[in-house]
Amino acid sequence: MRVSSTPLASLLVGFAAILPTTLAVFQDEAFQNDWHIPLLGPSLRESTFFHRPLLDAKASLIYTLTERNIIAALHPKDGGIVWRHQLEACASKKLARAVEGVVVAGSCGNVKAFDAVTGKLAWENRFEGGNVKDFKSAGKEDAVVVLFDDGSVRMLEGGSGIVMWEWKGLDAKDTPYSISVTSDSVLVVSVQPEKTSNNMHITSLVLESGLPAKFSRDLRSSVESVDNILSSDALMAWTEDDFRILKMVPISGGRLSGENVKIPEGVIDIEVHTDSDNVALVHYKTADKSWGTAYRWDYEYGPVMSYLDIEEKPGADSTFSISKSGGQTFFVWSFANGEAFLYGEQGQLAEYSPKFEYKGNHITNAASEVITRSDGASYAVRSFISTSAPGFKGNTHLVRNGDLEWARKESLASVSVSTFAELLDPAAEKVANELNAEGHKSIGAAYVHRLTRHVQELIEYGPAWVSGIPVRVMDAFLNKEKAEIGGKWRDFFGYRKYAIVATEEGGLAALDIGKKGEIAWESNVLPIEGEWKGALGVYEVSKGVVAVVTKGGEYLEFDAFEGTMLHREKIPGCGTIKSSSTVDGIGRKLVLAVLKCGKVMVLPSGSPLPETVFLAVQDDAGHAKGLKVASSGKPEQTWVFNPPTGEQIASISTRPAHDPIASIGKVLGDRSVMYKYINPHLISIVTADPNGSTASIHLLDSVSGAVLHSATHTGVDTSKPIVSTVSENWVVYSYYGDDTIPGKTAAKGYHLVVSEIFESEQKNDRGPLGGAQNYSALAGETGEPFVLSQSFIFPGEITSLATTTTRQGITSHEILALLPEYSSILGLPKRMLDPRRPVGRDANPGEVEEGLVKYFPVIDADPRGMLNHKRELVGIKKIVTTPALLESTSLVFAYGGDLFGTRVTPSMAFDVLAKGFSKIQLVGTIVALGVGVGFVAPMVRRKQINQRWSNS
Amino acid sequence: MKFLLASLLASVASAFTVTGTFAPSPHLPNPALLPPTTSLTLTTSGTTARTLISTSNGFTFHNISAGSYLLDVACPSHHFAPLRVDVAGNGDVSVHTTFRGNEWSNLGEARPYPVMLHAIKTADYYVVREGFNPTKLLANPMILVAIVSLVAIVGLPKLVDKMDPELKAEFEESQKKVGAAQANPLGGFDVASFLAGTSKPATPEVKQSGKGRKN
Repeated sequence: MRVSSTPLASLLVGFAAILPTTLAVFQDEAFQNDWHIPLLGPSLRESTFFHRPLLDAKASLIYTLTERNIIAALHPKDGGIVWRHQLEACASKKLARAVEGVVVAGSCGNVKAFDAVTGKLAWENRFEGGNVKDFKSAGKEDAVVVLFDDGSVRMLEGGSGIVMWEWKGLDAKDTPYSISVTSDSVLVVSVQPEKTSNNMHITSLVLESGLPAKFSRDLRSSVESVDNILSSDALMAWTEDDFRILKMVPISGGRLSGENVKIPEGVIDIEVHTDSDNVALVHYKTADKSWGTAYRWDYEYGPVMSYLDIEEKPGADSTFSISKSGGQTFFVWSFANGEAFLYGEQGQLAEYSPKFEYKGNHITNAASEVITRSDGASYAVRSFISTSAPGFKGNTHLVRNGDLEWARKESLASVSVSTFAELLDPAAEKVANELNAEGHKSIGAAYVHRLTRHVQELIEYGPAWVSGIPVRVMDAFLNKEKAEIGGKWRDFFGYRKYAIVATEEGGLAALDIGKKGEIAWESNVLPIEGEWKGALGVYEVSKGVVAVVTKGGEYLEFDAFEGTMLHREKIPGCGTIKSSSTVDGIGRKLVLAVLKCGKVMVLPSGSPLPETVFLAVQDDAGHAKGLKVASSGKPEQTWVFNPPTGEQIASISTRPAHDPIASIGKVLGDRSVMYKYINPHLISIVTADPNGSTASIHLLDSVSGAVLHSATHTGVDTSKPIVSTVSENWVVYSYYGDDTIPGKTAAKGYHLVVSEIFESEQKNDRGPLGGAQNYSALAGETGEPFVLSQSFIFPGEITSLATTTTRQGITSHEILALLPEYSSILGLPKRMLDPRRPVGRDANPGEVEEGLVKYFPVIDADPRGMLNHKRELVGIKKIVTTPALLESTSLVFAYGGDLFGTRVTPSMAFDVLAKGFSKIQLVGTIVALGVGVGFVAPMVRRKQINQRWSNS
Repeated sequence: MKFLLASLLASVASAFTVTGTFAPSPHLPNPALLPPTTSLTLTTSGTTARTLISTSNGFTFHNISAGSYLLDVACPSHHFAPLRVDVAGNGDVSVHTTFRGNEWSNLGEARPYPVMLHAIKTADYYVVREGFNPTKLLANPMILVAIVSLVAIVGLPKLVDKMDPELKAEFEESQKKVGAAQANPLGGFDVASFLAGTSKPATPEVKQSGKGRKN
């Protein structure tokens, strides 16, 4: 087949678009049913600043680069995101600076410049070998000089990013620190470790050519320990002599002697803030108070001189920020209690009394902008302040002249695990409470209680209730929204649930997914002592109770509605916790934690397991193991799965905890049935060869360890994500396939494969087990199930797959695929991914009846199927789903970066009236019909009479 | 081994760049309107290179090693067809049309380099719900037929009544002939009797004479 023309390609794309996309976002539901909290993550101090996007721009924007590698421009007025981009993730330093009209970001080996106004990429360049360590504007146009951590220095041309010159002359033993640019030279600061101390070098290069300067100022100064370097920007500052002396050396200066300052007694922390020129502020902190000293140095030769002492104030929890405007340097001192002070060259200029508080938060860093008002005596101060609380790092706030303007919950960008907590049914809870009260009373008292309850009900549903009926009917008729019930009471359709999320920093929060992600409560799971290692899992263990298992070995229970801690225990045993899961206990769920040494703990400790539990875990040697945990809690190994030679286990996925199957078979067009292979213990293991190009998927029974199905793909790029999701009797997975196997032709691109498992290949046949009521996976060979597979080509990378779940499982499924390139979550109807779609021919009437359409190898990323429609999702790692009370609806929550929630109806909203349903129109039609009948009735009567008379 | 070789090659000869522009097309007359998040990826086994649309409506992939790549564009506002980009060992780049699922050994139509990207479709995100629309209802052919026939039933006899008596007689004569020649099922449809549930409608003759006289 040799097909080659654009019209054909577009035709094919067009064809793909005709495929059934039952799922789509309705215009009237977009932005109503879904919510999105765009997040950036904690801002980095050096890379957060106010900046005018254009020289003549009236207002400035806030630019920030965050720990989560997102560079963004924020509107200072409302905190809205003007633009943002996700950069490559790297462990190395990342930095953003403003350079005439663009904002330049360096991360990994990449330097990218973004247009400050629109956020479009102005230029970029990538380098291998070294990661960006520091860069500065070269002073003309938007050229920059970049220092890499392998010691090389490159000057990149503005507008194109092309390397103008490159210098690689740094001593191999030197660790580069920073770079400075003066009018004619480039100064590279590096530190070389010596026997007793470290030598600091400043190497000078000619700005024009990149050659070592004639009079190279290869100056030396000793640094006691590189860990004590506080600042390496325009001023190198470090502490020596056990935190007794602060040394400061301006990089642009000709001398390396610098200034030695004695650190006063009691100081426990020092922060050095520098602006890019020749001013630095040293912030001393003791346990309960802090003060600062401002220093200035002459650009070329001068020594470091202190020029302003900022007298001490109580409260060490504060930070300074420097702002330059109109040739003046201002210092803004912000306190955690909301207080702020403004200092100029001479001393204090303004004071802002505390009007709000960063509740329980510490100030970590700030960026400020100070503008002298036209009267020359008053100032407009805006500060962008980052705070951190235990478990929540990086929330940002904008304070304008001492007033809090807006705040962003950036700490939630690092949500790593979550669970859903069901809310309570108000009616059911009320009755349950009353009955409970009666149950605890004597017969007489219970009788009186019940009698009073009935009397109360009579009053409640009495004349007042009856007289209120018309109002209620009218309200329902006019679609008037009833006052929403809040708190722990669920709404009528069960759209409201709490998503209990744990952040990487150890915070625990409840988000109301029915109320656009509103935070219901915040708490933390940090250990009382010891190091925080991360949360392993959050589980809803009983009504209103959630449990958290931490990697450090703690088990905590929280009230899901209030956030109060109910229980806390140290998991006894050995070492860290490897994995955890839940099992049904008596009246509640129990948590099973698998310890590093192989022990299995039942939590809360002391609770008995009602029955034997089978677990599948991955061991350190790279095998999958089956564990049988008896009611005593003692584990016993049942099976071991060894991946094929050369391959390693990439992931293990199990069926969702809530995965009801409404029908045990699939009814075909000819009324025969294909029976589904239904196994609650179905797991899928993806194995991949990291050095080669094969990947396999294995479907196992996690009780017996029997391999039910295995498929190996060749020509797979194992460096790209291979993800899978299992539900009901099928598995869907995706990988990148390439045409790399000689003698075999293949397509290049992402593949999406679906495998469905049936009991037998024959229709109306239940396979070897027949209609057996019970069967044991351990009873021996029962024959292999029949697997049907089909592969599709997909246009983009999928980093996470999930499936919708509904209450009864009657509604068809939808596969949710996270597409980072499209910044979207795509919903694919399971019907589209059906391996029974007829290949190479049109569907026959029977198949059409089943809803099957002709197989087409390409599945397009149709924007109409994107759950987030025009919203742009950045940084999301995982999608989770939970059923609503309505069978048609599944609730979707996505986290890991941005937070996104929506509800989907894979088989359309068949059990609820659509928003567009007009009751007025319905009544209008009935009235019109009534009038019409009333009008026609006499005519008909007359006609009938006339007919009888004329016929006789 | 192969990967080792590939990475070795990458470190030796990896300074190639792949560039291109977003060209105007009927779906996108001004490529400057593309959102800044429009991203491009060059993929092949072991490599994923990403870049964004630039301020000059172009793009540049830096540090690309020799190989055969699939170029994809992910854009929130428009669709673009995938392209095949081959980077030769000497840095020469050739571009070919491809389509998803194409056997990679099949080269498509050659395209000029630097790459030109044309939008092939605008992205629609929403489905508009079918609501009640009176004009749409009136445009329905069935409703049109019903209205026309209603006008014919109600209006024609009155028109005939207002005619010159001689002409009227002539018309009725011709009508009878036509009616006898071919019984028009619609013309003989009687709304009243239909609503009354009379199974067989009155014959055209009876109806016409009845109407003519009694109304």
